[in-house]
Amino acid sequence: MRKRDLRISRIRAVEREYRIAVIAAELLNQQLTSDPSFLDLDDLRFRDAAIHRQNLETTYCIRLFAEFETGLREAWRHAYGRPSHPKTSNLLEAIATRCAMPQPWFDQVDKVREYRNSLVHDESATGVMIPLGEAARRLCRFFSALPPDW
Amino acid sequence: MAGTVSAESANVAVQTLYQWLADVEELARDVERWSNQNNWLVRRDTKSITEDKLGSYLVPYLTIRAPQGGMIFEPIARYVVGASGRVDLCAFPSFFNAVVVRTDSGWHIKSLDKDSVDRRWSEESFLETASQLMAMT
Repeated sequence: MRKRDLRISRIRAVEREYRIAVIAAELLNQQLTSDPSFLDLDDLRFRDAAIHRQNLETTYCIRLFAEFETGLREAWRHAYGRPSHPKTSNLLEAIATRCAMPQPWFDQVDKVREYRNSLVHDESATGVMIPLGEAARRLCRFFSALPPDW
Repeated sequence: MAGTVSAESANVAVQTLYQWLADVEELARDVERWSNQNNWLVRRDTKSITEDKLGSYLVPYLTIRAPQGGMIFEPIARYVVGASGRVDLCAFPSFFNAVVVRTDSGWHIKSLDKDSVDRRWSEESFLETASQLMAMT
């Protein structure tokens, strides 16, 4: 498989894992509704499960972007032969420029980056929530503009 | 006042679109002419592009067939990062492609890999790039 396709498939794999995790969390919720002591043996509480469910999408969003960024940095080194380690925002812009990427593709991924930053660095004023499926779509589209292999 | 600003920006958008369409049309005619001179078959279709700042518009979309393979000429967008327009040359079925970007100094062919090939648009650069792309499997 070409490196670009491999990286896109890994982003998609994270999205699929998230969908499984949502189903699993819902099943756990159903179990806890019928048996509130279900987690006692693991020294966990109903509230822990509720927090898990509440944070699931943001947790996977951070992981999704990490997978994307890892792929970008690999492409930066091997597809473009650059040994540097630029800030993520600069990396996005440099690669988008090299690919002559349509402006909206770049802008929409930059919004995902801002949202990720708001989750990681608590910059809640700048990041607008983006559903995980939409974020994955934007990241894959960005990646599709890269060279096919390196 | 707001209406004036809006009318001015609409006028700029129209001028931008007309210039972009004229430049793409000229590029497509280059490809048709140079391909025909090499006895490559060219079919012209149109495709629709929608951009936030320009709305929807039609551009030429060319399919080129040569003894060594096939290639499409596909305009992508006027608004791209780092240039003022992009057209792809994409070989099939390999999907290897080169990017033709519009800059202040005219059209240039860029490779997407680390070699960072950047050649001014010309008959020679087009034919070499097209031949290389179509030979890739």
